[in-house]
Amino acid sequence: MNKKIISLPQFIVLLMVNRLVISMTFGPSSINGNDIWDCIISSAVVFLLTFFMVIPVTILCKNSDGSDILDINEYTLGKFGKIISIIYSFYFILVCTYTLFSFKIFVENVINPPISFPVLSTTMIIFACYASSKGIESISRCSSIILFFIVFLLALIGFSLFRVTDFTNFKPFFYDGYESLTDGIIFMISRMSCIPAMGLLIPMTNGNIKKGIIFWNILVFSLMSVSIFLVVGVLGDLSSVKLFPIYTATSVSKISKFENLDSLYLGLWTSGIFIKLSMFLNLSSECLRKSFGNKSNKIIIFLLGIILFLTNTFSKISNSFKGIFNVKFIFFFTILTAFVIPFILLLLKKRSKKIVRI
Amino acid sequence: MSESRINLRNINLLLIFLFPIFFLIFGIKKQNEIHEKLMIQGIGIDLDENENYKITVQAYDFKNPEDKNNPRIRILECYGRSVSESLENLKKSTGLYPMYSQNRIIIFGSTLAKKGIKKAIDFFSRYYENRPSVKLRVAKEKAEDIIKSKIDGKIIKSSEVRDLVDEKSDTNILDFEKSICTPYSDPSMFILEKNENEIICENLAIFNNDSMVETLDKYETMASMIIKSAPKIGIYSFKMKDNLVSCNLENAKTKIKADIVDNIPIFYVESKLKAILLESYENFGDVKSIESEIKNELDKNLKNLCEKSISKSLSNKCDIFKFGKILRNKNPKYFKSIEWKNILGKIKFEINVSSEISVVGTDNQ
Repeated sequence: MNKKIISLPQFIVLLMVNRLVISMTFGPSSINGNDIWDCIISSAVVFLLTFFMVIPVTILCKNSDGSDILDINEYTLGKFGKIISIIYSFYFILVCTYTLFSFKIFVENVINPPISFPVLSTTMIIFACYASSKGIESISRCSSIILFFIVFLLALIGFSLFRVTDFTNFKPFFYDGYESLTDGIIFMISRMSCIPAMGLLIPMTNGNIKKGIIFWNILVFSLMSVSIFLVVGVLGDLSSVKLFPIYTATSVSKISKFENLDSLYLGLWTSGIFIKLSMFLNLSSECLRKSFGNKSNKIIIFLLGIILFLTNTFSKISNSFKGIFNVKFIFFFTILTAFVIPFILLLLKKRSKKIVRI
Repeated sequence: MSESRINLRNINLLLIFLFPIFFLIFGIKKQNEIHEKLMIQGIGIDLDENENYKITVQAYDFKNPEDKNNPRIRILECYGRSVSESLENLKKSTGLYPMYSQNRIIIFGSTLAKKGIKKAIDFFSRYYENRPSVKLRVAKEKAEDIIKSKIDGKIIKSSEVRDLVDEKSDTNILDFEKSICTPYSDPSMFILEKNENEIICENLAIFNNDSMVETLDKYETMASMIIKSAPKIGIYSFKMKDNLVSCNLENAKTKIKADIVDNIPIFYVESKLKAILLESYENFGDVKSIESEIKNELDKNLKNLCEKSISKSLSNKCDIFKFGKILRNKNPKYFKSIEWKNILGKIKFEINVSSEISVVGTDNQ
């Protein structure tokens, strides 16, 4: 049983920041070098698919009197439910590892700061551990501030980029084939870590969840589409060559005497990474705490921080480890945790209710 | 009570833990001070007889300032087989750490521009310190002549050379990369020419992929700016009834439409612009009455120039006006069936220029 500790706007903000962080790193490498422009259509398809995908988890958690997906899981599956909780915990840690990996690629290729990446990532992990130990409420408060600046910056960059948009850059959709559509859909769904997170967040939220999810989905995918539109409008075919096209586009954005807006982008993106790490560390620890009896959350977070540190270091040493960052691998786990497990649990829950009635 | 003690202990532990990390971040890693840096302002790249790069750099030296408030402008030369190797030699010869983030302009020598600048520009598009908004120009002869230019014994600053062209008409690293990443668009760059006491920048270099193949003169360049919808074009003078009329051309808006007639692409170029009358023949009182005459003559002249500009570009198999992209968007099936570069010389175009004359400074109603 969870207390309603976050409001609906905080719920939306948390999910928004988490989704935007990944959207900001969207590039051709995410979709096998295919055309980014076609991903506007992928984004529209995923927008509709998201409504379908959230149905099981929303119904499951909405009518559960404050029980989250882990409680329902334990209630319907008994001891076997612990395995499901561990799968969720693994998935959330995988999201953290992937986020940190994206951060690493970005830092090494774009920023190249004077401090080494291990020091930077370790600092990030420590602060994320600290933030996650403070709980979801604190993280959501922090993300509200960050989202305000992200939206302000995106509006500023968007306005500046729209002025230099070249409409000849918009080629007909699927000019080079339909592969980009499917790759775009797979990529966008694989980054839907917000849906499994909803399984734990909905019971904590006070307000009209249905409205919140609709608002979140519209906002996320309209921002995604606008970003793709602007990036292609500014960079043209170059957007399919650059590693981080959204960042490249921001580096030429300029309003009056204000230029180099990419430096603001870097700061806010790093803040977004911090929020994402904190939230998923918290959720992962919550899964472990529930499956291994009510052990201290802080100890679990500390251990998860160490795991994150090791995976981060290990990914540098071992190339075979990089397989887990494969889009299809993450896609499988996202579908499993976002749709398959909640759907099965929903069926089992309804069946058990029928048995009780009989 | 015991809980607050635990919390306090946790915070202390955290602080102790964080301290060495901050020490690592700010203490161990030595940062270069400003006087140890060479703030690069402009880079000139030439190719010598052995196809090695000769790079001339204009940079601010804060170690040996000119006076209390101004850093010294230094001109440095370095050589190497590649651009990065040459610039590495700069560090070795000065002992200063070169900083590229303040760079304003990159100028290519004409020999290098004719051979192709793709390789020379690669370092600037890859290295994180370089900004993609850095402007690119071609020197009429050698790039080093422009970087080393002086007026009254003082070096002409790279920022001043950069400002010779309106920002919106200029070419930067990103524009260049955009143009050469597809086979159906080509870049163009302004040419810098050194006279005795000044640097002139009014001609345009046309590139086929990354190699300079042709140049447009001053008026053809203005016409190309009209086709590219430049906000500021410049002052254009033309003869009318044996007298000279001068107009300031601005706010060009061009629409290009594509069609296919007899399996050959045809482009309809429709340009509108504002022409502010600055000088005219006879007396100013009559200007309003002959406004339409001026307009017709100006439109006719600009149309001819636009035709010349496009013809020069197409005859060299260069597409600096994005005709390829327009055709691709209009008729993708046809575009896929042709080899764009091969068909460039055959394409037809129709131009229509319409100016809006604005008479200012006199009350001649």
